[in-house]
Amino acid sequence: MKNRLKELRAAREWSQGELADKLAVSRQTINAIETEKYDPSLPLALKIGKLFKLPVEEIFEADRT
Amino acid sequence: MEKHNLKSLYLTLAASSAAGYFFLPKANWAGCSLLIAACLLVAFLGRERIEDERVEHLKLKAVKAAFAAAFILVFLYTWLIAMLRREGWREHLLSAYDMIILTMLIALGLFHYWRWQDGKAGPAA
Repeated sequence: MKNRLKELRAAREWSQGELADKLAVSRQTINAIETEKYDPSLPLALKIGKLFKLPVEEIFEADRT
Repeated sequence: MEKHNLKSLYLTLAASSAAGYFFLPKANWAGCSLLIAACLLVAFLGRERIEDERVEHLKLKAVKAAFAAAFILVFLYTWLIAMLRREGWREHLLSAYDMIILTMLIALGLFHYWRWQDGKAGPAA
């Protein structure tokens, strides 16, 4: 699943570690989401949306198959 | 001592037990394998520094793959032993603890490898 997490994080000048602390996950998890190796769970995706004050659909985009 | 630091302690204990079996003349594999299996189980199932959903996901994926791989390896070992059996040759029969040791070693290796890959930067955009 494509996402804009890296772009949104960079706009706020947060490091992966800082974003990880805000979401209570590890830095590796943030990197895995940004590199599209891992799709977050619904609670985590909603938490990300709440943090960036954006709907989840504007951050994550399902792959077209 | 924090819980995740105990993992190194358990792995050291497992390695020491294995070394003890090879270097101590009176050591028996039954006792050593029990200790090694227990230490590896605790090391794998113990808490990570940050126990998030990705860690749980990777641990489950690792143990599933490790079970399958360990089963195949044990099958091949048993088949090879049957094929190569010679008169007077005393083979080592695998116990449940040996299976646990093999499974946990593979699972720990896979989990840490995938975790390391998670931390690697992706391709430049």
